[in-house]
Amino acid sequence: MFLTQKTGKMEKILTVRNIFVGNKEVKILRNINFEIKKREILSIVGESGCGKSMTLRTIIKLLPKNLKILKGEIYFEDIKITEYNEIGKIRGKKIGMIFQEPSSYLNPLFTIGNQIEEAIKNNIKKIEKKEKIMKILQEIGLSPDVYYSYPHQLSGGMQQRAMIAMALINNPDLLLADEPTTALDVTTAFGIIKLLKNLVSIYNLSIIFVTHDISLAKYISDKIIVMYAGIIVEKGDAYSIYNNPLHPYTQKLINCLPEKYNKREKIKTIEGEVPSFKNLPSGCPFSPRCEYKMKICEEKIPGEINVENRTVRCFKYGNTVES
Amino acid sequence: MEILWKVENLKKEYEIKGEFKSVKISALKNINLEIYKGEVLGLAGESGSGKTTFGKVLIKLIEPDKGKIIYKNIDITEMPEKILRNYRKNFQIIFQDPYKSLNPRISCGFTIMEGIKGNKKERFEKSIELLNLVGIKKERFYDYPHQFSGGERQRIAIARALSTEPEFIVCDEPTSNLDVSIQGQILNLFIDLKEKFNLTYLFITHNLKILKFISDRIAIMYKGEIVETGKTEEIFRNPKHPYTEKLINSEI
Repeated sequence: MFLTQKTGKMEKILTVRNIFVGNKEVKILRNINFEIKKREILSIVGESGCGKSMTLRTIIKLLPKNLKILKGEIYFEDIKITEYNEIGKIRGKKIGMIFQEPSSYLNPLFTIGNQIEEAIKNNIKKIEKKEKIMKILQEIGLSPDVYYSYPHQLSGGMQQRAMIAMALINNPDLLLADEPTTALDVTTAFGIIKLLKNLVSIYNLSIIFVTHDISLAKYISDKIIVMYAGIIVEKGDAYSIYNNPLHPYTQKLINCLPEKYNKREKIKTIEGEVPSFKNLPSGCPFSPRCEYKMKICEEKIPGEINVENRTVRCFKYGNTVES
Repeated sequence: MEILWKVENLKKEYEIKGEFKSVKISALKNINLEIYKGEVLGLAGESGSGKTTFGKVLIKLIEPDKGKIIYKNIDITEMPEKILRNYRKNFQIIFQDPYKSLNPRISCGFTIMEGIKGNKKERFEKSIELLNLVGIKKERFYDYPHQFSGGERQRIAIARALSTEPEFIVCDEPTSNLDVSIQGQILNLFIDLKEKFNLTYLFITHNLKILKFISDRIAIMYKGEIVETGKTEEIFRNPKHPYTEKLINSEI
């Protein structure tokens, strides 16, 4: 293996602390706090527009031009990557990323081999580069012919695998996956999920996995973060979040899944709609749809409360107020 | 049980024209299928296996190359469009992407009114009734599609499909573009409407959980052929075709 020596300890690889993202008018992310350890898979779950993709983009500083990090810091190991230009040394080398639709991120004019080669950051001979690519293609479950093929010759699943190869070619410590299986078929998606799970031990990798499917998150990850309207409403280990959700939103989200019901039973859905960022409720963003709503919920945003083995933002479990 | 649709040896080929040569792709190869009245038939298969083509050929939005389509003992395969029009109102389709299937220049109320027969007042009242039925307030009658969210648009598409009082609806992945919480609402709506109007659905989806939840019987498509049909529980318990097995094993 061409891996460099890495320590196997459970150490923190990424720390996100009190991150606020937005501009003068809107705040897309509010007080995001989490950390990920080595060889851990962390899933970020939520409905569309809750800020889960933005969280990933904040980490590698690929935010849209009109959004900025207003407050807070992100550490990659010991490097403060929110600082000016620090991310340039890490992005693509220590942190890899894969996206939802592989076909729109691959250049149709170049072969896969060519494109992966381009991603190699350290200076090695061309022949070594090719060897390295062949090796990674094999590990990812692609045939060596793929090196010479163009993106249109590959199926969606193979394209996604090629993207994964590209993200892993520099041996990163962290892989950011933004809904990598949504555009794929059930059977192909399952292959990709299994591959990602295996990669963790082969490459000593940590993965942040963004998805809207909470049962998939439970299957793949060690920890789950549930987001709603730009705040983390609940975080904890995957098993207990799925089986015993504490926050009313998580409870209702899991209750929406058809697999929780008998055939054609009435599904208990969440009333109302996700608020838009332009007119967020002044208090807890979930309060208009919440059945446990109290007076305080409409006035103040709940702070992080540790209950059992996880963190919840809900006044049901204590009176901590967000400062 | 009464057979609503019967399809025999249905074939459809597409020609992809290239600069120098054209390639023929068979989207449907020899399909035989029966749909009973009042059931929900789930149609699953990987993308490109011909699920959508089948749905469209069945209600003759696309002409088949060969084979027979029999609707209530009437062969509609060769029927001239003028006569077929009398039957068209009985079958409807709901598409996957509610952002593309609604006309952006017609307000949602008028979209629904188009399919209703009668004088203007009757049509107006009926369309409000339909909007109400799918859970959209009547104040939004004059709103245009862009003013609605994805879930609401899908509701409008459903109301439009219901406007001709059909007995059969092809649902072409109607929830795959929606969020989980909205997906639940739309599934509820489908089930309510089925019971209310005694509808028959051909429910195309690749989501195994939805398939298990909603369908009485399942047909599995693979490379343009229906490789397996059977009762939902039966297929999940004892898949026979290798592809079905692979599909069911990839449930998370």
